[in-house]
Amino acid sequence: MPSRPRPDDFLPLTHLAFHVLLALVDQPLHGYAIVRAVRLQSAGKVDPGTGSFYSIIRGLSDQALIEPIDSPDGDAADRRRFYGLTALGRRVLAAESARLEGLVREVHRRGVRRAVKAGSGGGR
Amino acid sequence: MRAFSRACVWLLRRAPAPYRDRFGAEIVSMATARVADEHAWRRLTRVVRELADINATVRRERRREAPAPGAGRLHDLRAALRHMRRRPAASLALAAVLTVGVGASTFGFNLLSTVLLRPLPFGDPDRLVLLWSYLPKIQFGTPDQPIHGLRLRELRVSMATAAGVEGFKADTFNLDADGVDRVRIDGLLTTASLFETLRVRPAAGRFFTTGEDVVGAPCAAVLGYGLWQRLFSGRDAVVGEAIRLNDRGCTIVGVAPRGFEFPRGGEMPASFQYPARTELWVAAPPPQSGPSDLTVLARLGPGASVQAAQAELDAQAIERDTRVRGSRGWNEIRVVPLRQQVVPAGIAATVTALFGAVVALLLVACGNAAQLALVGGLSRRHDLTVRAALGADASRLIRLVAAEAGLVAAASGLAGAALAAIAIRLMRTIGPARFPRLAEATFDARTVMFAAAASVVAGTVAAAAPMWIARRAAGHRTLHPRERGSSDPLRHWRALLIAAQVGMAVVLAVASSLLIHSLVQRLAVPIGFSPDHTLAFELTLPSATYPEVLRGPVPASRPAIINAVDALLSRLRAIPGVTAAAVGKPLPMSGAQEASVISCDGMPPPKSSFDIPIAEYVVVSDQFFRALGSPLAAGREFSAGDREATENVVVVNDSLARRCWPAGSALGRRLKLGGSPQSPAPWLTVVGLAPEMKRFKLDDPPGPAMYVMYTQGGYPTLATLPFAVRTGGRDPIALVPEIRAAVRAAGIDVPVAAATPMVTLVEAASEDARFAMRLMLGIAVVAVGLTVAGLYGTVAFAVSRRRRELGIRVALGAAPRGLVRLVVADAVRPAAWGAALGLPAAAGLAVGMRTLLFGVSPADPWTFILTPVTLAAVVAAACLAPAQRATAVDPRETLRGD
Repeated sequence: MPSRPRPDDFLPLTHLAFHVLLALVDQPLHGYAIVRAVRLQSAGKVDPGTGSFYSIIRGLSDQALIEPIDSPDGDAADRRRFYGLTALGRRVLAAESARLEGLVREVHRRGVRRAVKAGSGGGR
Repeated sequence: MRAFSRACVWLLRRAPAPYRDRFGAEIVSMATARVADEHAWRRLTRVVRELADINATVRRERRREAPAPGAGRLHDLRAALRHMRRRPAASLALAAVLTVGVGASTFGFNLLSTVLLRPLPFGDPDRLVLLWSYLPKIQFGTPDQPIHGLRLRELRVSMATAAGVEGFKADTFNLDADGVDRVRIDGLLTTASLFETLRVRPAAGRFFTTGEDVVGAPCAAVLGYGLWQRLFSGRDAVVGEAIRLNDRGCTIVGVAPRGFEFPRGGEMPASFQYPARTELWVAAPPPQSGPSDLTVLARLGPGASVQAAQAELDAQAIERDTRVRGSRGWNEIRVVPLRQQVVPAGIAATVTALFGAVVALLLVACGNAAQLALVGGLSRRHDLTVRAALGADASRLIRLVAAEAGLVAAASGLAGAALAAIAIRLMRTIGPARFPRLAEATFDARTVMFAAAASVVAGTVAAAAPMWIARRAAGHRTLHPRERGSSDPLRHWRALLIAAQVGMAVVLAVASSLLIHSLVQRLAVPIGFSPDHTLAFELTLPSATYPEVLRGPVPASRPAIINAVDALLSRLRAIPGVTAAAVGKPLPMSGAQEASVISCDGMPPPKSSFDIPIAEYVVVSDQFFRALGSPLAAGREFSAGDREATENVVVVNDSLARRCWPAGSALGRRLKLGGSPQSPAPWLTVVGLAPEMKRFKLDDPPGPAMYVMYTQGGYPTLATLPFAVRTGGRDPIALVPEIRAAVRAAGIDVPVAAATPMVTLVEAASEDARFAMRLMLGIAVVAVGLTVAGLYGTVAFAVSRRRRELGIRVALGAAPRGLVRLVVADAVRPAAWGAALGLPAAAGLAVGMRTLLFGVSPADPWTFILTPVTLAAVVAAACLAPAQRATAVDPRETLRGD
């Protein structure tokens, strides 16, 4: 068995996985709350179906990037399962952002600035 | 909304179980919530999207989980382990039951395989036969008698159907070697080519060559493997070394292979003095004079059958009857396959019966395991139904249950095999020394295969019921409320299992009580002496120092021996606590015998040579009868005053007195050795009447015996002298150091050998019966124990399942006694059926065991009445305890559950 997983081993993350990890940075959330947070932080652009969402949850918790935890409010009646970021998950998230940052910097270095906006202005 | 969540559940049914178990509920509730939260006009889109997404996810997850070959099975095993960990007691009980069943049956199979199935450890062993002089008419001992050296020489030349004829007899040797304390070894004098005829290879050195068994050849010896390891630490250099055997120089020429101990005492007729294990072979020429005392072994030539050999020897006997004067009727030889001699019919029957018993025990264990598994399966029916409702198909549930059974069976198979291996080791080391072929027992490949097969059978039986339950659970996919009612779909199966177990237990209990009964009968037979507080030991006088040991039976020629014995006896009698000491050759129960034709005064002349009376001939000293605790019925014992110069006297036993002088007292009558009153031997006057002493076995028939004083009568060879020393209460074995000192003080420089309490000799004479009885008893006890435990468990389970029904009955005013009867009847009825079916089976087995029984009929009414009655009492007790709990049911509590 490898001693300790390195964050780089998990890269690159899928779009949706990145969003889920990001949604959990501040606090543990239950499933539906994660979906809402993802929708919010992507300005409604990312809206996974429930089944796909749980496939991502399964993948992330199998990789131990997130973990199911008891309701953080200590509310026993709240039967919904909450998910929190593990330490590893946090490091993977950081590593993925660094990777994306690097990519963005490279794009900028080559002078493609706001190309998307410009392109969209002059298209069609 | 309800329709939507149902649709979700329906889609998720096909998802892999682990995914479904983990997220199924969350997905359904979240998807439902998302649909509910949507604005009314977008709700339909959301519904379609969610369902499509769930469907796609399910397909994706299924693809992902599609098992790599074997992976599904691994998952099953893991699930099975998880389940077993949750119920350790039940799994352990199941494993324990199967371990007992597999272990016992494997041990029994090993016994059967070792004694009956494996070929004898010689080359082409089925062509080996023994030749016995066949004398059915002599009215003495067994009809199979040893052969004379002259006849052997003749057979070696003339027997055309044989490719090798060997003759041998037991002998004892004082062995001296460099760095070895003088020890006495049980060995064999044999013709040189014995090893070639048996077709074995030496472990070191060589076997004898043809010239080594002729008169005047230098002495050559072959060491047994154990002796080689023990005395010579297994050095190869031992070959060629000089040793001294009975003070005569001898050369070690080779070492016999490991395990070669031919002939073993337990595999030869009891009346011959073969040691339990032969450890030394010395080449010797067949004697040309003296008694007939050789065992003859032959290898049938190519193409020759036992019948052909027998026909040839029959023809020779007829020819010899006319050619050799006075030998008419004494020339018959019987051909006995070696295998049949080594494992006589009685032993084969014993071993077969024991194997039958362990198979029955395995069946009881299987039945018991099935019962346990049934109870376990019923109690997890709900769990299985839940899995089925969530979409697990029948094959999956069955695989899960089978994995559990497989795990338990594999573990029990291993444990059972280990148990059997230990038992086999124990049997070889502390088992009866004279039980045929036990020394050859090993945990071999065949035994491993049997253990594997037994565990597969046991596992299958244990798995059958839960698998059936699993199948049924898979049948209804809808969730019913947890079942609590009295319905018990497998009631009939349970009844059948109870009946089968009780039936088997009855068979085993009857068999073991018959064996116990017959052992008790065997031990109750009077042996003619009292073995307590008596020690037997032997001295082997070396012929080099006492040349007269080999000389004929004329006392005057042996003053040295007589003086040595006199000196030793007086020293033995001076040991504190010793009340009597004597020589007796042979001592009772020690297997040696010498017999002689006699003539009695006043007896009508015999009509044929077979009418001449034959008597066992025992040379004793004064105090012999006192030392053996065998008071004379009439007359006097020998006294130290009976010497060569005084009147020749004899003590005879009851059989001889009746044979010679059927009317009137034998005291004062006279007899002599030799078949006619004209024989040159002196007349002996009867001075005492001795009781019948058992010679080899407890079931020996009584036979004529005569006792003569060592100072007056001789013996063909006095090389080995057995002594008996009686104490007033001291542990006889504690005498050994003082006996050693007495022997040294008497100037006899030989080791004290075979020092054994007489009690042990008597026990050894019945050890095969004891061995069989103990094994059978152990098997029966375990079988009855399993059956009783199974019944207890069944009744307890039935009570717990029927709590509600019983509660209703109590509420309706049922009396406690009625409840107990209700519960107990369910177990006792099939038990009674089982017993009823078991009894005839037991009767059949008893008839098969006829040869093993002694003094008890196979249809012994007491056994057949008392055993089932006792068993019934035990069964009733086992049922009553849990049934009492039925009366403690609180109707309020049980009815509240509704």
